[in-house]
Amino acid sequence: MGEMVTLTINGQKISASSDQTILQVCRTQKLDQIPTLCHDDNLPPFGSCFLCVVELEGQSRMFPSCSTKVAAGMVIQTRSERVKRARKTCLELLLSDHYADCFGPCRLNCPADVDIQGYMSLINLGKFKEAVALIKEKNPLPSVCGRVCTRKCELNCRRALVDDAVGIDFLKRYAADKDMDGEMWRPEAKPNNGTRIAIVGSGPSGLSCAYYLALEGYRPAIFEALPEPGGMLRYGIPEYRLPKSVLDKEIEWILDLGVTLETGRALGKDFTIDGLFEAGFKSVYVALGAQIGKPMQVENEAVEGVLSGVDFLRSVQMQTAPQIKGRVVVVGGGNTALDAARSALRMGGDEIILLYRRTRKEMPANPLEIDAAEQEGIKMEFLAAPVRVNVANDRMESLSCIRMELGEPDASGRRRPIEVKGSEFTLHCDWIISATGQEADLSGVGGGIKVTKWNTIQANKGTFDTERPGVFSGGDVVTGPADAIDAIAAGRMAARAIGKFVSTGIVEPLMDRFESRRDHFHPVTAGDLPPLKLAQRHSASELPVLQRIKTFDEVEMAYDGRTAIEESARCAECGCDVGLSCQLQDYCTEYGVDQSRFVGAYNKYKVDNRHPFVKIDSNKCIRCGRCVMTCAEILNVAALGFVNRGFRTIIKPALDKSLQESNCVSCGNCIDVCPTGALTEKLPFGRSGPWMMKHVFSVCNYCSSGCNLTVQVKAPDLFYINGAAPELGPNRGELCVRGRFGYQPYLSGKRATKPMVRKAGQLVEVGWKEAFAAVAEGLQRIREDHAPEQILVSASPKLSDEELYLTGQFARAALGTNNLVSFHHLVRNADYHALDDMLGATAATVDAEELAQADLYLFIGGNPTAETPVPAWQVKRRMRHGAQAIVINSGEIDLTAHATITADPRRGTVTKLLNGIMAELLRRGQVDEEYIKTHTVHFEALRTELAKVKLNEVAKATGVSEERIRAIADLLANRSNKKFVAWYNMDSRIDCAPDDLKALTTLLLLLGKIAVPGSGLALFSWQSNHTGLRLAGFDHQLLPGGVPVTNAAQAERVGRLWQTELKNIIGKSDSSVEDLLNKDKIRAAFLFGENPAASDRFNGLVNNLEFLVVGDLFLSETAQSADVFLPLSSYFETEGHLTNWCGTSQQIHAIGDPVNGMTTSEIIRALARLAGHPIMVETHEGVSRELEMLKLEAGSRGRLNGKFLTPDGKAHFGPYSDHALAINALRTPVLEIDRRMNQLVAPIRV
Amino acid sequence: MKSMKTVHVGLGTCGISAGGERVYQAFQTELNQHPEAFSIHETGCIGMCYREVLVEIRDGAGNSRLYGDVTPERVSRIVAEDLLEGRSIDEWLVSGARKEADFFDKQVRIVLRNCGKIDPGSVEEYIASGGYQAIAKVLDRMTPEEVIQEVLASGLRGRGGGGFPTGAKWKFARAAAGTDKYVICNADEGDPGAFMDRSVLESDPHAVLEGMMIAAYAIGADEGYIYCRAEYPKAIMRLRHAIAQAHAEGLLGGNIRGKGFNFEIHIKEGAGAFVCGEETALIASIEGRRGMPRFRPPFPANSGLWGKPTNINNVETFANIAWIILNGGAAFAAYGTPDSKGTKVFAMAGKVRRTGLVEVPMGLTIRSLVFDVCGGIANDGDFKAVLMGGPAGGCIPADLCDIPIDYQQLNKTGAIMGSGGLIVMDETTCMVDVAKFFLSFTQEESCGKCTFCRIGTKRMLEILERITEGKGTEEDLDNLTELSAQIKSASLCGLGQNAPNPVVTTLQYFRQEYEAHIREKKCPAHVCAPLLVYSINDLCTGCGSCARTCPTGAISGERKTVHVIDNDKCIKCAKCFTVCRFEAVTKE
Repeated sequence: MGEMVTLTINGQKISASSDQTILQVCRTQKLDQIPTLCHDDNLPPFGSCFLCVVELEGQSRMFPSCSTKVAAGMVIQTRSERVKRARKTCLELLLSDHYADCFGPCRLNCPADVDIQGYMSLINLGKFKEAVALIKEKNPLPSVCGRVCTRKCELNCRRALVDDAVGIDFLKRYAADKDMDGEMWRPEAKPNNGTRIAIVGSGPSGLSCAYYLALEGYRPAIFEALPEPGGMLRYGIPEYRLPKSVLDKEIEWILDLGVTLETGRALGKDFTIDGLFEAGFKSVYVALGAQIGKPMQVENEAVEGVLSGVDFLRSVQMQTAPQIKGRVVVVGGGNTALDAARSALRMGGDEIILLYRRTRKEMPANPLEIDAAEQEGIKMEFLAAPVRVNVANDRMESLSCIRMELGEPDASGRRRPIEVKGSEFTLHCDWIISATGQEADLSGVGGGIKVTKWNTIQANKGTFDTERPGVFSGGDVVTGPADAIDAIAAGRMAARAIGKFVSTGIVEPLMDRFESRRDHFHPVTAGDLPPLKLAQRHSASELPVLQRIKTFDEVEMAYDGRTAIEESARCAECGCDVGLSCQLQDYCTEYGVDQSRFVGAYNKYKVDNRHPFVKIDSNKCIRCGRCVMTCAEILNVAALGFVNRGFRTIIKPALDKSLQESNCVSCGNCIDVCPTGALTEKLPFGRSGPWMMKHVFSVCNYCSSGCNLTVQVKAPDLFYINGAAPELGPNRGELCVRGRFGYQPYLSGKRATKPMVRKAGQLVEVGWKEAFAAVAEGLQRIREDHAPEQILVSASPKLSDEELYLTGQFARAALGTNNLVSFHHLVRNADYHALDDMLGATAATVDAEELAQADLYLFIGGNPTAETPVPAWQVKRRMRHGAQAIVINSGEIDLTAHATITADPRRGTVTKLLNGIMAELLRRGQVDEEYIKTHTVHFEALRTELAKVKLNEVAKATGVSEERIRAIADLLANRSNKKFVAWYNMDSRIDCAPDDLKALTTLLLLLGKIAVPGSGLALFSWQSNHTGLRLAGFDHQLLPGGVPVTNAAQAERVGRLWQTELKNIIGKSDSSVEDLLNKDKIRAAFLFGENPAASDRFNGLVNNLEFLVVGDLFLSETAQSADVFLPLSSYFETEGHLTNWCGTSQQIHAIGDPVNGMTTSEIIRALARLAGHPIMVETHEGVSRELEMLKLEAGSRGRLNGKFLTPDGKAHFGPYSDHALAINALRTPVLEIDRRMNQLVAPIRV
Repeated sequence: MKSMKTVHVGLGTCGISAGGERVYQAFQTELNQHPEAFSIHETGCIGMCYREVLVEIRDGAGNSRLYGDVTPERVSRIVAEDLLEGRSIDEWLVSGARKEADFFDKQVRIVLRNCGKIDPGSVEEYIASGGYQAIAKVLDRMTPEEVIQEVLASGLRGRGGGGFPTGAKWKFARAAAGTDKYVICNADEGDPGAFMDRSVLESDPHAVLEGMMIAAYAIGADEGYIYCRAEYPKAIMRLRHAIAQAHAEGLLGGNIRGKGFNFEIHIKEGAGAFVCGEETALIASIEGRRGMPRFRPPFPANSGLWGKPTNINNVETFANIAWIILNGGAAFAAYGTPDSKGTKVFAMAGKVRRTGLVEVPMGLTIRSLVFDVCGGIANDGDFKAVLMGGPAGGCIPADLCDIPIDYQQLNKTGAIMGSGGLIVMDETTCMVDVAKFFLSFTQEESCGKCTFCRIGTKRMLEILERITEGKGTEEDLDNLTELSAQIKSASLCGLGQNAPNPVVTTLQYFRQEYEAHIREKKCPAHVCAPLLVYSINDLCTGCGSCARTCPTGAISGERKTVHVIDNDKCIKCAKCFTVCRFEAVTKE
């Protein structure tokens, strides 16, 4: 602890400890959230990115605040102009060598900034609701846009470099239509805040503005001059392109959010802006659109027979259009011209001629529309312009035109048409429709609002505010005629600006989001894309031409489901995997970085996809070194390092190896610390999103370490895992390969989610009802023929505390059997009750904190860094910082290299070796006599036994030299090692004799190192909830609370809760379950998450039973033999608790509803009910409370903390065998999920 | 008995590369015929690298003659006339016809006291010349505190470039809590053009070992490392040999001279990373990690090798120590200026007449060093500037070269003392090109850790490349200035903090050269190839050899008439310029 010093930061006097860095002080005292990319709270300061620089008064240099400690009298500036400039330059330098795209070019070209890549992947994964929700974050009218959008996204699609652009718009329409077919997705709006906002105009801009205001809790009211809402969508776009039923649905969906609509109310005629303010509206959004047709500016155009395009289209929609027939000339080349031409055809025109003054190439209309028009027989007269309408009988009778040729490009980049002298010609026709542009009608806007010379409203870019305070404006009325998607974008952004204005009075633009782009370096070509399989774009089918030109039926058909999946798979995922959560991007936005400032050489790398779980995209690496430091400092692995020098410096495994060829342990912690997208997880979905995820905090379900983790959830079957925030758990955010990637088997698609019943020898999928009926029928049959104790109930030590408690209750109270077992335990062949007599419970005696803080460790058997990696890494770090360790193992394990002393006894002789050590300690008088006297009984018998042990014989039997045994005794007896922890894993059986644990505990007792602060036994299991299983009493020798069945008071308590006389039931079990199985006494079984058929020893069980019910996640070997299979909910769908190795009960959370339809607890309750036991607690909280109370009353905790649970409160030395007998436990993990995990990690080193 | 004449052949790396080994063999052959006449000895570098191979003939009575530019062919005459007949061959003497005795006049040789004089392979010769008396004195009569006091009194500052007072550094290391302290000798001499340390290690290795021993005694260390670049095989060979000899003499190992002082020295060969000359990177490299600097504090004095208190000095610093102990700190401090005491060794390179190694007292002016000691500018060129301090140093223009050599004075110019590399430039040197050369070196050698150093120096280099190609803009100069300031301000180690120095100082003193490149697309020194315009003047005889050699056919002309270069076709390869025998091709 450093001394407290006083210093000044940004003018503020503060005091802080001198061992803290400037960064730490600023962050902990909330003075400034200084930006940094290389700093990591879990690591010593590294200081590479130099983003965190600050100014120190009196120093010409700047200092990295992450590495500079505070000192008395320092005067620090963390946000001065010089600091900000340096940070901006720092980021610009980093970005000048950041050859990467934040987002795909599709999104960058979308006026509304829709996350196209995100919804492409969601559609590909069949997540249509999620896709629609994602689209609607930016565009509330996807069904409409899916039909009428001009598809700027597709114009920019990189896929076109290879084959064709992805059919983005078709896919949007597909997802949105699908959503409309059923119950439409509904957003969650903020509570109504009562503030009213008026919106003038119900076109796409007005609707969009209303929607986003409503989401924020405002009360928008739309005023529309025409009889129905929709603006140009309704009155400008013909029915055959946009069926009005679709528009109606989406408008209705918006109005349902509490948006009010008044139609037939025209601005300036029926109401004024002044009036709106007077009526209490806090702001007005003017979105009038531009629906007056511009004149052609030729002679006689106001005569009968000459229509404006927009008027004509509106009249068609309102069914007031004149009778069209004969020859129709449409003047113009935009979408309105085409709409008018195609509508005229449908209205009865015989010959439609489109007159355009440039060529097809320059036509502003959507090329797809031009194609469609041509297919329908519309003639195109290019390079011709109208000159004069010729009149006969007060009506037009022909149009004089002139030929044009193209000259130099004009401001828009299109070549300017020039009249060809003397080329006039005349087109005789019956109707002329002029569609040469539109403008707004601003007659009703009133004073105070500035109008431009183009007759548009002057509104500020980005903020949409007009000259008149409180009045905002956007859409066509500001920009002139544009696309629906532009208007939608304006509506959303205006809503944001209006919200800001009415809540704070401030008008400010949103800061431009920084986007790294590869085309800042060079134009991207096909060669820059990842290898893509050629696949033509799927086009949507269309109504046959002959059919469609007679009606207004929708021309373009939607994709079918299969096409949608295939087409969405064509997306090349150009955007970054962390495009939504990139620290680098956030800082670049904050500091207004210009990626093009330092143009020059850049490094270009191939993306490395060779590792099964980790993707390395070095193009995105900023060489901050966090991954290198994490791998070296936290894991002691150093698989990654800096390679090369200078500008070519890169982080990768040494010697050009791939990551999995290095000593990488695939823990993926590097992924969590990477501040950019350089290290990402290869997600198992085939698509990488990225998507905004919901964070659900939970606990790992593999080993007993109980690591906290975060589940990143999009949907119950679309999630992945990363480390929890460091402050949340003992693992400080670290995870191992199982914790991080072990979720993948759950998503493998092989999960069994439907109940099954055996019919005529075959398992057949059925409904839950039928499955339960089959159970009831089978149970009745068994009960008729056999005693309850001939039924077995087994459960996996991966089930939650609550599930295990309920399963025990089901067995004992509902079925009346005490045959509770975990096959996992049986298979491991360990004595899970080894210490019951000695200590009163077979449990750890230290907690995670004590484990991490010891100064001497003893490891017996097993391989901690492989079996329970995260706590083992912690201990390894402790060893590197000075703690000593003894490793006793017949093989070389990872920890051997870090040990002070190692011993490699022959297999099965560990007990002998421990006896030798104890004998030596006793002989020297180096045991804790005082402790032995006060804490233990039966010491004399042990002393007599150990006195017989001769060191030379031990050495001979174990192969460990006497000298080494003495050295171990020396280290153990060294009094400076005050905190001594022995590490033992009950399930790690390859190197163990039956009584190793007893001998080890005896040693701890002799040294006085058990049940005292800081020292003791760390007892691990391979299974996440082994301790929970014991405490839930899921064991024929134990009751809930973890106490022996002989504890009458507890039996009484439990019996009362279960309304069952337990005495008789638990008394009946005097032989072990294994005996019963061997004697074929068991006739029926209920197995939950267990797969005995996978083990050699118990695979006979499934064949010998008369009735077998299996609940599991997968159709395991055992499940395939079941009479009834019940799909369980997965661990990710469970609310409850897991109890880790040291007895800490940690909450786990469900990420969503179970995909199988019922939680495991619900299934057990249902089984109990049908077995005639309807009194189970209904909620998981209730079960949790009941179990907690039972634990409390039994006086038991998860670990032995300062006292023993023996009747006399003392530790009992007892006899144990030291036969040199190595146990060959079966290596096949019986739990199906473990087996799948092992298959998953099989190709990599763990 | 009349003492025999001895022949001393300079076999430092400079002597060897000039052919010293063949000269040595020639003497050996002669010796076989006249075994009574003389004996042959190896010696190191005396500093006159421009005159290697140097051969010194000593008569045993304190007289010697030094022959320069000796070739194997000249040996028989030297043997015949000098060794056998006792006649000096005046035209071959370095002090003879070419009047170069003044090379030594202004030198004060403390560090180089034995260089070129003794046989570096002989511990006896080292001892005979007063070697290992300082460690004896220290062990016999001085406390560690007194040793430190003496070094403090000398005013010696770190000669590796940092210039931190050596005594103070030792004091910190001595005061640092903990046992297992280390002494490290930084022999990772990486500056292009610098070879002071190599020369000392090759010519007088024991002096370095003795300095380390004294330091170890002073701070309480019992283990030392010499971190030497593997590119110095001769130095490493000499060191290994010297360490073995010191062991044999009982000067290394346990309980040295029965005084309870233990000291071992290990050699660690560096793999050629320039940045490993930075002390924290050097420590990382010894520990087996990538040579990457880390933030200081903690300084190595408190947390160095394996996290233990460590004192690091460079070769030249250690080579001063024994002299200071024997002659007293005050004697050392008598040389130099108030700010900078003692002497400094410089490796002279570039457009100077006498290239090589010199040791001069602090306070001498740069001009005096260039002109009086080193004979002025080669080929009678115009003195333009010097670059001091290697790639991280700075340029000092000729008109500032009357300042004394002194840490403070040099820093004021924007240059640094550095480790002693000194490059002399004349009017044919383009300052932009010089800056580009050094920046490309530091850019390549950046460890890549700090953003500004890794990418910023690259961007600066690209700007310089653009300027020398005639594609620079005025804005580029502003960007250079800003990047320089930020790289200097926000880099962890000296490499990054000083990498912009050549650019900063050339911009400061020779901005007009940059501007000429940018505005006029001209390189005033006619160095930057893309900016040169070649033409043929009236001296052309029409021989046609330029036209024949031109790879693009840009030269045309009738035989025996003046040829013409088509500048649109010219790719500025300079082949015509090289091939013309009549100085008819000009470039500007």
